[in-house]
Amino acid sequence: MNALGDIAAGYAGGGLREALAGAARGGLTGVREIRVRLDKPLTIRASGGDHFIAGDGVIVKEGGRAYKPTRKDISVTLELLADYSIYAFQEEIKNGFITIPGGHRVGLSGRCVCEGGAVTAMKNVSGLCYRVAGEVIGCGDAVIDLLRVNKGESPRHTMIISPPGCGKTTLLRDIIRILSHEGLNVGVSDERGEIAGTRGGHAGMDLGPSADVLEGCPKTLGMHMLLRSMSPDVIAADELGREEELEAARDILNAGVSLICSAHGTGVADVRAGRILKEIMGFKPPGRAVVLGRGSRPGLILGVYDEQYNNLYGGGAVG
Amino acid sequence: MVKILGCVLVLASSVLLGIYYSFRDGYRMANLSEIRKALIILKSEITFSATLPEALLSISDRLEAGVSGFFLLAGTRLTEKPSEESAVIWRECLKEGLAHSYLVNEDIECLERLGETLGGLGKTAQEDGVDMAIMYIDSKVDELRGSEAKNKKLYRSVGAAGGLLITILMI
Repeated sequence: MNALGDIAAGYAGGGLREALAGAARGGLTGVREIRVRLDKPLTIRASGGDHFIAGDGVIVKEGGRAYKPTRKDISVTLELLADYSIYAFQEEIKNGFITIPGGHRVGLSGRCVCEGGAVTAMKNVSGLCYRVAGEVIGCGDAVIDLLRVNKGESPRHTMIISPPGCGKTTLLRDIIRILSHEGLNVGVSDERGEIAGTRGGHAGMDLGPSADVLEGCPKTLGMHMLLRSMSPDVIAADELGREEELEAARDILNAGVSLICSAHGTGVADVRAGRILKEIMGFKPPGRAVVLGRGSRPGLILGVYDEQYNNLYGGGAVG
Repeated sequence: MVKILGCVLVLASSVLLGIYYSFRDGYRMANLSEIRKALIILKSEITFSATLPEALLSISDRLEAGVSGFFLLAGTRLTEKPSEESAVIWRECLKEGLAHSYLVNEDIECLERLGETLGGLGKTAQEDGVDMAIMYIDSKVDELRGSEAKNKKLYRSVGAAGGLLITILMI
């Protein structure tokens, strides 16, 4: 079954299940996003752009003919997303998303309950945005040799930089897989469960035989725990940006363990974790920055940069 | 001869019926105690963020036969992720899984109310819901324990007396 079929079978309720299952049976490919909004047309972003989906899963041109999710559809779906245990996903809901097996992230919108300036809960959920995780086996082959001095050795410290939705996690995951298959112990700090697609201890993605995944743990803690307890050759973490995460990254650099991380940004000159990028580049041996952009599809490699910010990469796409 | 045999049968049946009823409260208490044990496990599973299906399957493993079938059924159904609200699935499983238990409607209704809140927002709210059900069970078990001896005698006497009455009328 494809990702859309899996989502329909386990993580969509009521009429939404019928519509998504129908779309999966209809052979809709390259699904990247599913937009569910209360009483608004059901939309899937896939190959060929955004499509309106009717109740039986058929693609329709006019939004008026598309399936419009009801309150009950969304409430049953929310229960399914949380394994009928919303209490156990409070932290995720506070952050506005739930990750489901397969590493797909489901964003939530609704009425936030706040206390002391922080969100404590979300009620009356009225919108869901499924971001379908793409596992592109082999996409790291294009860059892996540029990230290390010799094959089989630990890679240089590396930061993957791109705006959201351009394939950072996909590339990071495949680099982990390659290193893990080469026998390097890779500790993965997977706070949102998106890298390994793990839930309930079962990894949904192929991270190879030598990856140790710490799921659901805040990245800062996770990186420190892996460093202390799992004797890693490489530590991988997605989307660094907060001050304390950068501190944890610096501890890894100083511990002689390779760091492979990603951060939001549009290029080496514009990156949220700029300070840690500077340190990565100034290290011995110097690190690398991989910059991704959005071409006709996600995963366009704009460059692999060395410490002098020379582009070592010839061109191509991640997946 | 046939008449005597019929009388003996009627008398024996009535006495046995009386004995059965006299034990029923005891069996109900045993069922309630098992459910109480399950709810205590459920509460601790919720505290440690186990999901509802995981918690129910874990309970079914740790209970003795009897009410464990209900927890196994509910845990399995929820794992299959049908396109239904958990309260509806819970209610259906109560009907099926506890059909052969000694619980009465009042007990099932209490568990149905619990099912309406289970799986919702807030661990504290979940724990409070479980505590409410435990309080109900405690009060029912106390009540049954208080009246058990009296009811046992009553049911047995009524069984025997009823049997005798029917026998006399038949003769």
